[in-house]
Amino acid sequence: MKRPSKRIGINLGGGYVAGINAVIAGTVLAGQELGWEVMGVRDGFDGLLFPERYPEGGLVQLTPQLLENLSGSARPILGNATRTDPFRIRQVNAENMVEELDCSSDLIAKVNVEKLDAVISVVGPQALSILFRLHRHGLKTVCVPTSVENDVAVTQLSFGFNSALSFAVDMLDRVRQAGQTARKIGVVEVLGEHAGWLALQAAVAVCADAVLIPEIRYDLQKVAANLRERLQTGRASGLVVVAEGARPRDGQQTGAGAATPDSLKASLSPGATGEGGSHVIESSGRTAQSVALRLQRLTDRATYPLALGPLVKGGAPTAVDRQLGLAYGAAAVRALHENQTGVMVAFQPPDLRFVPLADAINKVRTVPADSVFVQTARSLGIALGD
Amino acid sequence: MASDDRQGAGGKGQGARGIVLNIQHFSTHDGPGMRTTVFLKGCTLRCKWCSNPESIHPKSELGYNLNKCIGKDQCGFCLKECPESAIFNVDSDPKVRINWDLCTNCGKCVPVCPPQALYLFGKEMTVDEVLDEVEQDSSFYRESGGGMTLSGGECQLQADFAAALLAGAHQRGINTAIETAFNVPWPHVEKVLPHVDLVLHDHKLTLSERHRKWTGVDNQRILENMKRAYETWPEKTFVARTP
Repeated sequence: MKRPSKRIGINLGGGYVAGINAVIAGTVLAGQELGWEVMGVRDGFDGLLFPERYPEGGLVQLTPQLLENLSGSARPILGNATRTDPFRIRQVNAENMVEELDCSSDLIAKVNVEKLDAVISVVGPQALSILFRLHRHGLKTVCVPTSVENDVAVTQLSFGFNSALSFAVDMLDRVRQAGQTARKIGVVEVLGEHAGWLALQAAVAVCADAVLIPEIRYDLQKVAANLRERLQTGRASGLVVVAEGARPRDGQQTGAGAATPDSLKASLSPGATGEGGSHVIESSGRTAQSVALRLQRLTDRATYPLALGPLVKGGAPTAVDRQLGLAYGAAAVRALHENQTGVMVAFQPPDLRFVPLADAINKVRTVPADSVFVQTARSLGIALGD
Repeated sequence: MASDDRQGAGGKGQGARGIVLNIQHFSTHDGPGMRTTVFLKGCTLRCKWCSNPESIHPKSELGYNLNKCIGKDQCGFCLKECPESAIFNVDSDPKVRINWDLCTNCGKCVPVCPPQALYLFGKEMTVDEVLDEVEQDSSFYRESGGGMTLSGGECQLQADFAAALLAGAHQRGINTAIETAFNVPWPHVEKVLPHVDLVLHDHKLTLSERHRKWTGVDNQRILENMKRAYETWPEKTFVARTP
């Protein structure tokens, strides 16, 4: 048997996102075409850093046979790490004291021991910075962006967004029907701390009564006036979509950035957070609750809040995400074939391009004020609260 | 693997330096009377309920209060000052954000932040600097039977600094107490406890497995240290407390 000309690894940071299997399949198939061996790293970088935790080994050989019919499946092939941060691995030392260690050099040494020429990492916007640092430390890497909020900079569309959007639209239709039966106003919160793409596009798709996004500070009086007007015409219910990071115009935050007893802890560095490394504590659902309560007072109509939260990440991918995932995976292999590392694959229609990681970090792709979706929402009479 | 420097700034005696998180005056829950509590940085446990998470890391670290930030339009000095480009903006919000994965806690952004939204948790101080501040409250100690309490974090982690602080307090006639979880090597305890009048020690959980689950480590060393300390210094007052 001919020896593979290259051996690469692929790992997943962040949680499951629909279409993740398609990225893996795209990588494996494109790798096979080049005669490369593709190894899956279990649970982020844990498969490399802690192989002793895995009786079957920290790496799993990925073959086209293994991936057959899985690109459209929700069944996880590789485990993923909630947060992959080799610079801060929590361990108990010989003195029984807990400490966070910088294991980046150890990781790069293990990549070399495993004879991996490079690692393709499927990561969200936060973990991009970690991969950027690892690249500066010598890791050859290509990143594939994943975000159900579609907020990764420089790429027009992250895989996973379309599936999340489809699910959100389905749920909003159901909420509207439930609201019509109960004669209530449904207030549905979706993910989007900094960017309101998911809320806005879902709201447009179902012709919601109002949508509140982080990019446009809202005045709830105006939203309520709009709703009252509609309800006076005999409408039984209303539907309001809010992004979790939506903020009122008066500066009194109601969502993830609200001034709460947790806000100090939320502002601390990861050393002060749980093992997941989350900086925002229990933010999900707050915006919907706050907006629903205030709308109830302003409209004199019962409201009910619902937070879809991470539910939108689950399920099987849509056709768009299957295509996109396969294309992203194949493009990552192509980047390595062209000897490019420290780059992220970006969808910049009509092309898939390779952009330096430095250009992708510290940026959030937000909704421009003149976005076609904003214009469409206004044309459809959907209140934006401004 | 690179490990954090867990012993603070180091040194012994009155010139010793340590990382102090905070000096809290007029404490009434950290021992008898009215006390001044000195919180030292660094902890060896990761309790899920930690009330002072800013004390966990042994070195100074950046904190950011988003609610105080006045935004890049009126300020934005920190954006230019950060050598790691760890401070950034998103278009939807003028307030700055910290990329904690890039931040090295250098603190260069702190002095250029007018509203003090950025600040450092933990300041390097000498024994005399700490004791001079503690001694300002000495009249309250006399009236109430109070004194100085070392807390944390785990105050025994910076053993040399803690021992120098406690010895110095005694020299100034100040009663001493510590709040400790006892999860440190025994030599640390040997350095610190001779200078302590009152030991307030945690008994977080009895079952070892549950202790591991909720604090990150089992309690074997803690129980050993506790027993040994009781036997070594029978004349001292030990008070076991549960969180």
